[in-house]
Amino acid sequence: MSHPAPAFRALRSLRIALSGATSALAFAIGAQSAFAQAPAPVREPEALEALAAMGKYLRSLKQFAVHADTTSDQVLENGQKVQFAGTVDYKVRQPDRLRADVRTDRVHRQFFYDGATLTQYAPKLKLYGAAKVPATIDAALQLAADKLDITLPLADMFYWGTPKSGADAILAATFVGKAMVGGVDCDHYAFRQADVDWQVWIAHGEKPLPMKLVVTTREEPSQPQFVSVLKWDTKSVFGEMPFRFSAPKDARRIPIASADAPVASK
Amino acid sequence: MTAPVPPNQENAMKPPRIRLAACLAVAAVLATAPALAGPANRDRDVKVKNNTRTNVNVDSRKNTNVNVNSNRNTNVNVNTNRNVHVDVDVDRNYHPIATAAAVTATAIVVGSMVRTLPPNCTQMMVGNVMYQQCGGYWYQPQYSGSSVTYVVVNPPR
Repeated sequence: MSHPAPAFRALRSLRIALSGATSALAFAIGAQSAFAQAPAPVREPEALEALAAMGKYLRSLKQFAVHADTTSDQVLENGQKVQFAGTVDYKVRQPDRLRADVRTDRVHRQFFYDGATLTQYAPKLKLYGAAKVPATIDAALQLAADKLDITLPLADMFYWGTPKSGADAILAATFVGKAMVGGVDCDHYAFRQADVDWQVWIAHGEKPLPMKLVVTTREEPSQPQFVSVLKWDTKSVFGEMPFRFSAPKDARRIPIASADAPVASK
Repeated sequence: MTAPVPPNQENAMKPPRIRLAACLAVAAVLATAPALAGPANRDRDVKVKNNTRTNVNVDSRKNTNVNVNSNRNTNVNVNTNRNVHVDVDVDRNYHPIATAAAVTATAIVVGSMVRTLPPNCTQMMVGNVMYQQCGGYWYQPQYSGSSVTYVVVNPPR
């Protein structure tokens, strides 16, 4: 018999078809597991060192002012993102004086920290609230976040270069490449943490300052971003004035509802 | 001590049922207004989740203490039980009509919190505490985080 019986031929072609399908399936599974097992995150030493050097330089500054132009995504209830523009202006005298003016399209808040009290003021509403806080900026901001639910934008500036720099939380650290920010030569780094991705552009040279920061909130499905471009003044000298809140005559004090002691609804 | 005497103080003396009815009637009128108003020059009444992080290391949203007064993690729609439709922030010196209608149309319960006041409120100082009296209702402003909110309180006397 030179030719297989028709029944046998049919069986053979079925086998070929099956094996084709199996290998296609195997390929698909392989591709999927390759996707799931993306290369293990790399913490490039160069990127972590650049971060540490930036932190060290920030901590060496006795005083500084920084202006940030910000854009902040907000997520509507349907998941759509809208963007708000704003500015942040800090005046800082380390380790225990801070002033921040935070403006967006909707809000203007002033924060005054004099080493003992944190005051926030809404100039349009003429309402202020004040709370006793610890004697250093980083501890004061930590307490404000933990107990008062107050988070200052760019607060990282006060943690980089300290034991609380958050470097341990970085899962992946990458040098992206060279970049220009506001005419300044920078190195661009990307970092990944459990719930947040972030990028920083660090100036070349003697003053490794962060010139741009992007924070991507990964835990929100639409991944809203906070973008800030920074302009630094490391020369100005501040007296006590910027850090001291003196209430305008028609301003009123209201309580700050803390996590511990919500305002009683008598 | 109370000053100044507000023009609508008499409302505070009415029984609650009548006050609520009055509010609902006002709300019914106001609720039709946005449709007629057209593209007004005011902020829209936008609900956002308000959970975009502005820094890496400090995140107050990690707080597990989720009570109505310190709940930044949820929507700006603070009081989810009462569907108070609110603005991102109320620094603007006006009150969107849609917001006012939404707020007044729902029951006003002592202890509830809103981010916008109904219109025509009078600022009152009782002792050293500031209130807003709106119709027969008293609101005490407070900071919830960095947002100004208003808690409905019993008349402070």
